[in-house]
Amino acid sequence: MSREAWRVAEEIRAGADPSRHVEEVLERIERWEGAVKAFISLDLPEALRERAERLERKIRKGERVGKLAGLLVSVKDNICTSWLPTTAGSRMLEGYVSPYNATAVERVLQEDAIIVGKTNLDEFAMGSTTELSAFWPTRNPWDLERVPGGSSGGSAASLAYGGADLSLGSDTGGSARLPAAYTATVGLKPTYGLVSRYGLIPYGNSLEQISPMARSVRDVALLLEVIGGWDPKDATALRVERPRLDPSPAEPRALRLCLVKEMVEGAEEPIEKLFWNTIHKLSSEGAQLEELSIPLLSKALPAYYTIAFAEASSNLARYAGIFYPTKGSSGSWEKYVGEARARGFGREVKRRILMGVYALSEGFRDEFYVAATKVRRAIRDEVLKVVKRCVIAAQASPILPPKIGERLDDPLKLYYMDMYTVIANLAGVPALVQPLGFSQGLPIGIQWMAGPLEESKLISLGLLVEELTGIKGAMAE
Amino acid sequence: MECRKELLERLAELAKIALSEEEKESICKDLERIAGYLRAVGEAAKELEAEPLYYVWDLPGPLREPSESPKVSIEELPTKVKEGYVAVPWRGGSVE
Repeated sequence: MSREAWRVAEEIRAGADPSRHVEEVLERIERWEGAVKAFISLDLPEALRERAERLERKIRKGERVGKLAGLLVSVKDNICTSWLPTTAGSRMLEGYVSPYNATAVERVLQEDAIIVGKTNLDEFAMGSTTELSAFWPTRNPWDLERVPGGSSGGSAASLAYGGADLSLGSDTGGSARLPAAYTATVGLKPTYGLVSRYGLIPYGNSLEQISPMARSVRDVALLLEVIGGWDPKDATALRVERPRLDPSPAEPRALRLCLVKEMVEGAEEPIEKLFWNTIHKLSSEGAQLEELSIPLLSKALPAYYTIAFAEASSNLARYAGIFYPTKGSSGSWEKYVGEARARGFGREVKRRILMGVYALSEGFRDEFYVAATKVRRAIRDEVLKVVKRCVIAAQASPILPPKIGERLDDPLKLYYMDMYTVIANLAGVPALVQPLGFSQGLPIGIQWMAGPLEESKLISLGLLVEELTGIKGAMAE
Repeated sequence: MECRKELLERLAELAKIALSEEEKESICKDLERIAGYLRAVGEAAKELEAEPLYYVWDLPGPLREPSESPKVSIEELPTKVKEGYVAVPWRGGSVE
């Protein structure tokens, strides 16, 4: 099953049996899931089979069949579904079933996809390795001793072993792109506001987007076409039509790539080597290169984390042991809430909330939160200037996928993994990560950033790079 | 931020999270290191003449037409504003 998802959907629309495809995916899950643990909850095989049979009847009757006909989609467990639990990887929400579906989930279902299950993540999407899930760490199918990246590590791992055709992840500071780089899959963080956040459990709401993930660039484009576009239920959704993305590769001679010093330097040697090989190949095909520096980007990581912590402390205030499953036990209200939050949240979430409260507190907010929002404006303005004239080529991760437990002892070591990805979230622009190759059997990715609502540029460039590398649809065996 | 337990206890009180003694010890050290790292933005912002950015598309143009951008001014909340900020009592702010 190394076909691309768009081909599978076309075949099903043309009469191939969707039940057979469900069985293929179930076999992969049976084979891999025990070792990888990508899913927090899986729908029952009978339920998946029944949906496939329903779709088959629809096709036989000649009814309209959707773009995602018969494709199996995994959904990150911080995206609400009304029939499967949504835990956000936290004990706080263990057993919680949302009363509604996220808009992205609704749109995927309207196009005849079959949702296979909910994928593991770092608690409330706060992490870069998927080790900080309250339930269990997810392992990287390419090397089971290593992490799949985070926080959408369950989504990426499910794609990498073939437990899903497509996946809905979310990206607050690289949470869809870092896992893509670590699992030889593709992750696209859309322009802020292109995809509705309705039904996404909020963490850093000025930064995050539900993000399509897949095993090829064309598949990511297909999923973005389905989930993108204005939604009246999200006040920050842009008033734009659903995107239409041309699936043809870019013409290299029409390409202008910017290499920003702060986004290409500082990665491990095998990553740098593969990155520059690709850039030189594109250049030899006719792409124009421009080298530049944006010194302020050295402050992107602390600015990002300050804002994310501040927003987290506000967004997670709702978990007070009243509306959600984890409760306190004391009679006094103050103690009751404190107990519920102590029981429900893991250590990293507590750290981030406390740091957010600190950054927003009287006497400290100018030095931390307000300063970070000023740095954010300056970074956004600089990035927007650059992406007006070129696509930014950047590293996706400074390191190869680390071993399980390797970076857990120091929070700053974990934060450092996001150094190249947070920039797109601060600037609101779209960014795509795709695989470039492997070193010692471990995947390496590259990142592209374009101007607001220029996802089509990223897709056509991504298709061209797939032609150069020959890597698409890769699955661990 | 020095690792001062009384400050951590105040933050935990504001965040409404009960911390065990063992957690206080380790989180206090972590917060000290994280705050030391984040302090870089304060230094960087001093050299910038930039206004804060809360919503990334606060630009005129196709991303957000001004008419489609309903805003509540904090000046409409005069009893809650102190020195240009909304004072939030549970975050340690108060209006005299």
